[in-house]
Amino acid sequence: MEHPELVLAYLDPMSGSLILQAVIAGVLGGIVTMKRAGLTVRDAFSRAWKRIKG
Amino acid sequence: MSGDPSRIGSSFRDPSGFLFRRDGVLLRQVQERYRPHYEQLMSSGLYAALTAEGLLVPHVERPLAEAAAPGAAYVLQPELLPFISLPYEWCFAQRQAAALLTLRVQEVALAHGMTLKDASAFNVQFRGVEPVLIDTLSFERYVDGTPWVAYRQFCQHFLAPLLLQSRIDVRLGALLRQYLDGIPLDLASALLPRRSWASPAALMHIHLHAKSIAKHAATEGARSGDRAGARAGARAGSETTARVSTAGLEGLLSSLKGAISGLSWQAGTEWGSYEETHNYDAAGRASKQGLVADFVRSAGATRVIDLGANAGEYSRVARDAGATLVVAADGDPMAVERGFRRLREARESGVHPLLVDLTNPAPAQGWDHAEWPSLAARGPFDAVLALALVHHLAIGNNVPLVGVARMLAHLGTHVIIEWVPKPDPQVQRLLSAREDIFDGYTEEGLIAAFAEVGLQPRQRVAVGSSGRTLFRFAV
Repeated sequence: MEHPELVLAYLDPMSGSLILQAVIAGVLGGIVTMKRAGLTVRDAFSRAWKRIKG
Repeated sequence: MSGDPSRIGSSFRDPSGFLFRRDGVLLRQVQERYRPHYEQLMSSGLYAALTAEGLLVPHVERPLAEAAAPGAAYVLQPELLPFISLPYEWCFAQRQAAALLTLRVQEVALAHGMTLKDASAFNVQFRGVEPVLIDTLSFERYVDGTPWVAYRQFCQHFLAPLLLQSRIDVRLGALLRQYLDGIPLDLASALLPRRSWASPAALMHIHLHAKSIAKHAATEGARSGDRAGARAGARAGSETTARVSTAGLEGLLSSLKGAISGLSWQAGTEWGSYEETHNYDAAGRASKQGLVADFVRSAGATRVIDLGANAGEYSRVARDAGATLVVAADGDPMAVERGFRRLREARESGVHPLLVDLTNPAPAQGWDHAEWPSLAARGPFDAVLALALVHHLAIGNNVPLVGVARMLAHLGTHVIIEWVPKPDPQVQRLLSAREDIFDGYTEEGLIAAFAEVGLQPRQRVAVGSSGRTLFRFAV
């Protein structure tokens, strides 16, 4: 039995394109997750700094 | 079943289904292998959401007996659009609108557990100035963690040409006439200026994207020896290695959306100073508008093409005189852009701006010359408007009047011409730097040229005191 998900991918997405997509989506997805948590990059750093300073 | 079905030339790449015509009706056959995806499109609420927002062309299901070939799960009859335009006939803002539509469709699809499996600009059409997706079979079930398979195609069809047009020259949109699957990313990367490496969107989606494709194509090709093997290996490998989270996909789409909405055509600074050239005073213009409306009504025209439409002033006149479709064609990207933006801001329908160089209109293109039709093959129109155009073709481009008449008669049944005589300042301007070799350029010459292609003047009125004449030629 064929997997429909694979059969239907009639375009050749090209592995180099998929690998790059995974890398940039990793970075951009991280930003989305932080935004969703109500954090900005500066917040994340200042929290980390406070934790270090104890 | 009466009438043999004929497949549409461009509908062969995707095994999910195909378009065909039976007794003049456009139908879409959905193959058995696509059944679960089509059923999810319909049952998940995605189809309802997309059609409610005007993002996807609606369809009705037809009896299975109307199928054109074995293997059918469904037969659909999509709503018919009055005119099909091709991406190399779009101005900058049309391409931008089509790109944003594609991204919006993908967002809505993901919210319903589906994803776009292709992102071809040919899947987008315009209803007037509103873009709409026409390929009902572009969706597949979204599997958590999988990348967007159409990402590269989206970059080639939309982001690359828009970046080239905005960062270098708007005329680079013409590359799409050669590269029917979008501009290769290595070419876009080579053409873009060095400073574009500092733009995060161009860096990620074009420059690094092109490098990554080239790098992996080379290593896989070397490993497996043959092309088919390389591709199979690449797919099998990438299925396991390239994982993209839902948040990642969201981030990717939002980055593309930001990049595309942020692009502008840099000639935007000239925008304000771009004056419409009027050769009439207010009274003369009103009189010409009234005559054009009257001629369009006399022709009983519902499908009109306005050649040399500029920003579409008289296209709107034709529409208001009863035409349901007016294609406003012009060869100046600035004029088409201005017309499109104006119509979109005013939310006006019925006029479809189109970028056409009349000395070289879109030919039959693609596989076996049959994928994408020529402009003439997308006619005929009931009426062709050629207002203050013939002198540009006859004198500006040295086409004999009979050649002009033949081209116009080829496009439509009625030809409405605003004849600009030789003493007119517009013609004198064309003649100022060259010898006048155009002895035949007279009203009599025009009438004789149309007689040669079988059309007679059916209406003929002087336009105020301008010295110009409005003609309607018909059989």
